[in-house]
Amino acid sequence: MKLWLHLRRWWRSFGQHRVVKDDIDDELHFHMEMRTAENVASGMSPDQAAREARKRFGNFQSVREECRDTRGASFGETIIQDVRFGARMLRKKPGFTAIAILTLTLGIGANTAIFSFINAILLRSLPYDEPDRIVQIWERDMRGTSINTSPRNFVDFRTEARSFQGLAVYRPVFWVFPGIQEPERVQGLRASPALFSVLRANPILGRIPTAEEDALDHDTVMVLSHRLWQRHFGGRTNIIGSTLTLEGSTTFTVIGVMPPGFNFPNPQTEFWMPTAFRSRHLKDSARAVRGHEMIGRLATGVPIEQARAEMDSIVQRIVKQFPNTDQIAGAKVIPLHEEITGNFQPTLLILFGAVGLVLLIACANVANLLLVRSVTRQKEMAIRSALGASRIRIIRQLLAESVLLSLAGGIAGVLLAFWLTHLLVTLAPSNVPRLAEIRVDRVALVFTFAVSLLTGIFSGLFPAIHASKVDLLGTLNDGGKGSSGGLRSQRARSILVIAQIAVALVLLVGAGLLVKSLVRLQSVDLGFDPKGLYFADVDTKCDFPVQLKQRIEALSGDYSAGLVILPPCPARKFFSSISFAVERPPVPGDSLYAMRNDVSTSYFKTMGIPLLKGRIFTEEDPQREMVINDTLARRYFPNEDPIGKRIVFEGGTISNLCTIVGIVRSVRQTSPAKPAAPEFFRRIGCPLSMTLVVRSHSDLKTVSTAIRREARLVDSTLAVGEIKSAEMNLARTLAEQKFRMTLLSGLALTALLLAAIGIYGILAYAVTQRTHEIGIRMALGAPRSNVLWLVFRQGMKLAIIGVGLGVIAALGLSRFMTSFLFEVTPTDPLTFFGIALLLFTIASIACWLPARRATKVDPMVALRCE
Amino acid sequence: MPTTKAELLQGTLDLLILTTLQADPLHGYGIAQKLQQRSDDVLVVEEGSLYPALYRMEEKGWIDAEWGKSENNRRAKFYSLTRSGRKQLKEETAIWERVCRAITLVLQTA
Amino acid sequence: MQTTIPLIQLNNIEKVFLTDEVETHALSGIELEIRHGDYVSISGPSGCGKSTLLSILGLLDSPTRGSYELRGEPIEHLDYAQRARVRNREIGFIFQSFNLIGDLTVQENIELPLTYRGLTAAERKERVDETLTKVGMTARAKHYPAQLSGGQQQRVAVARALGGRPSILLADEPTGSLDSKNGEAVMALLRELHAEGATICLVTHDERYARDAQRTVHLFDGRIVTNKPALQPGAE
Repeated sequence: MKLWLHLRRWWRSFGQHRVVKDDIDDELHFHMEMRTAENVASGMSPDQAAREARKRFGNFQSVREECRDTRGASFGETIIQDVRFGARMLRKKPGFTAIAILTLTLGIGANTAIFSFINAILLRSLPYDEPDRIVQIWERDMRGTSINTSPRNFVDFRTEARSFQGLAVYRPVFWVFPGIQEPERVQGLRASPALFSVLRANPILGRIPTAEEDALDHDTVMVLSHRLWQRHFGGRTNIIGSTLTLEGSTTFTVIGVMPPGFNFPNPQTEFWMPTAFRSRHLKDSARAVRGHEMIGRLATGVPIEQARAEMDSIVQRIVKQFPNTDQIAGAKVIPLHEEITGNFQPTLLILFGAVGLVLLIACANVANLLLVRSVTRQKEMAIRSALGASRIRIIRQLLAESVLLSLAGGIAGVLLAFWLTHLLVTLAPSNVPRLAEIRVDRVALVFTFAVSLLTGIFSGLFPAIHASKVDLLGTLNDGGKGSSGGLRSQRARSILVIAQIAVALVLLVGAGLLVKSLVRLQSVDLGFDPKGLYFADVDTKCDFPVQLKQRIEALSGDYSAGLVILPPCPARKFFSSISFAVERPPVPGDSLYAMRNDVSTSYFKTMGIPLLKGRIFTEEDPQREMVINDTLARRYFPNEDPIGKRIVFEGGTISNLCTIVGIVRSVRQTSPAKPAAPEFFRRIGCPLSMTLVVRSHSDLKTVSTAIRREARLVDSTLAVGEIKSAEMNLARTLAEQKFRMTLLSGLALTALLLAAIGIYGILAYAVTQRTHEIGIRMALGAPRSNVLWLVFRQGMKLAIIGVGLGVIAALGLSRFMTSFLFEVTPTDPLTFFGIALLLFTIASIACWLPARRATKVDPMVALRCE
Repeated sequence: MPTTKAELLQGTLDLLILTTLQADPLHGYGIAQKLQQRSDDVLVVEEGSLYPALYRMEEKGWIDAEWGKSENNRRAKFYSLTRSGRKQLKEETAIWERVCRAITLVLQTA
Repeated sequence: MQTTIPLIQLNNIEKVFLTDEVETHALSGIELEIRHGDYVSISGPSGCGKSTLLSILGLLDSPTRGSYELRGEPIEHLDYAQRARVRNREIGFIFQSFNLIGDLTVQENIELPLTYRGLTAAERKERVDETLTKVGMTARAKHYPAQLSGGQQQRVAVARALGGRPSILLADEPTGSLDSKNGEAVMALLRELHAEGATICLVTHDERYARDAQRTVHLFDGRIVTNKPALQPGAE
């Protein structure tokens, strides 16, 4: 209450102190005038009246001063004084100031950069109207995994669900655009026209598809992204209404162009077309034919829980009605923002925590510097106190200095952050959501300002309170160096250094665990040799990939080639498993799942996947024979020979039974971090999209040129997509881990550096303070090794305590990283031991330097200087 | 009682000021006038010393100040009692009465 | 009415330092009265308790026992902030080692105690100019202490003490760090101030300067041995 009153007064007086002063004068003069007037009224002469009034009033000047004092009227002014003096003190000690500002710049700059990520990805809302009402909707299988939906189910959702203003499904498509110079394979989206109303997105040119264009033969209209429009059509406005023949046969009409920022569902998507469902997809038997993602906009006033419950009940109705065709458990309704950013959130939070710790260490370093200075400034503080400065006033003055420091650090930090953010965006893996939106914006600047202010107060408060406890007598009387104060501050500084070391250890352990995980990941046996292996997405006209494959195989040199639907290791969002049954006495509750993949016969040879048993299907096989991997064999046929077993798939009938003819070695399909899943392979038919796999000793450029040249020879209107080496794909898969590891390591090393500076600083200062004592010891004949050990021990004691506390803290905190670790436990003893050793090594270097200087003390000089 | 002479004097002045403000808001000059009238011209304080006391009490939250127009239409600052001021007045009055009774008692028995 | 109350009244002041469980009596049984306009000197050999007494007078330290009244008000119960306030308003310090703040100019040093009160910048400037003129240092207003001679620094220190218009000037060996010529100049300045009505309490071990005072107090082993009107130089 009282504090509140004070704050209110301060606030009121701040910046308008002159007004307050005038008010006081006004009030007092009013009194005098009234008294004078009354005196005149009672018959005095004006002169006499004024004199009498003055006399009755007493000492005008001292009353005025006292009023102002109570009022704290000059608060604003004294702040300005404090700041001005603070600035001068900082200018006078450029070395100190530079180190402090540099430290703070590092801390604040790194914080701003990481915050910019968090701000852009997590905090800023999506660039749509009322974005928090947009949801992503999944179906969910028995294991709770998100799976996408089928056109047939979507139609039910659309007609039955009342919780949504609109629902839309979409799936990616690829078309080869003729391009200005050469054909380019471009990714786009087939989507319900409702997509645009769900997102409330409008074109900058032309129109968006109408509901009627959601029908067969009407779905040949196309909306272009701003980028594609610029790149392929030179930004011509007369493009609207013109027709476009793609891949030699299909004709589309361009109806609109979207604004530059519109990139749903990802930045790779460059055109949008309505999706028409074929009648066979709308049969009840096609309920399991999935492949569509779904979004919706919640109806006004409908909470997300209600939508979730409604979708769940619709799914359950469908499952009850069609138990043989679809086996799903329910639905998931997730805010779109969460869906897009959810995966990346833990990484950001860990980084934010780490960068916060670095700032803490930086604060501790600055606090340490300020403490040292407060010892040398004891005399100044004592004089101020003797002249009547209250403790609050002294604290305020010192705080003004530290806040000035941190604001300077903040300004430099912002500059650093601009650069750092740019660097991080370049380093960041391309699957970081909303990457293009990341920048240091106004929110980040406000954040930086607040952080700087807090940093200044945080690093300055403790030293300021410390310095305000002046030992008046000892300091003012001559010769008093206030040794007791020095000791007191030494202890405070020791605590800070211990804390720094502990925090640095925590960060280093975190980084160490990530490094070890990544090393493990990179040395994992994938089941195939990624070296000399290349992937190219090829288009879907069936004979094109087959002919291309044959041409590549026929190339002179060491080329081999194969075709596959799902190549391993570019991390895909979905690997939908399909359930199947073995033709044998059914085991109750025995549900079998495996990944289905179609490949060409040559795929295994090209990939280098060895056949373990049996044979591989032939090119002529009508998809009745299949090869399984040994994971599937081990899991589902533990005690029998799978060769010759017949299998039926979910939704299939006895008439399409498949026979297992061979077993191949397992490959890590989804990511190096995930063990191989059960998988079976059939001969590839004519799927929507497939990947050409090429093995060659030549480099990427040579291989790309060869593939593109052969592709043109097969069909000049078609093109292959981006050609990537398997190693590039792997790197992309590991990019997020690598990004996380690089950043955390960078932060941890910064922390280590700052902690080392901290321990060095405290010892170096201790040596100068103990010069006299060391001189006496040496005069008495102490050997240099003794002196060296004396100082070294003092520092290492702090290091040992700090490492001890850090290990305890790290043991407690590292489990938060479990989800980021691969084949490393969060309490990995080797990492802990290694990091502790690293810290000890760095600490001993930091201790050794000042210790060695102590041995160079000249006893004569040291003794004389006192 | 650890009260010093100065505190006693100060406390008395505060009490007197609070009393004058009981009815209506007044400006500083008004308070001085009222004090003088009420005490039949016996109590004459140095009028200047009123103001630091007023500011101090405002700081403590016992009184509130607001700028307004005086009777002769000049800008003047009016003080009024706050709730905590009324409480303070009640307490101080009680103490004062007790002290007076004690003194009277002592004088009578002497 | 104020003439009846002494500016400073010390009654039976005792100061005990506790060091390693040994009690050292720095002062005992000190009775001292200083009135407005007095010029009192406190002298005695080193270690006699002069500086401790001055620290107590200046509210830099509190007595272990005894009472100290300033203008009739006891000061024992004052808290840290109130003491700072009293020091700021009532007491002007002059130290042996000047104790000017090296990072402030002459002008700012003098202004310093004034910034701890509610004075406007204009009023502060006026006071600073006034006191600078009084000590004859106007020309050096923008200098830093390190650019001044010892005598000049002490004159600035005197100016700083005066700027706050204190009730009393406490001077602790003001000539201790000065050569005799500069020392004499500072003492002359104090005499002049006294003639203008300032109350001064001077601690010195120099008998010559002690005689400047109207009254000399001799301390020995923490006790007052004599407290008598000084023999004025011309009055012998």
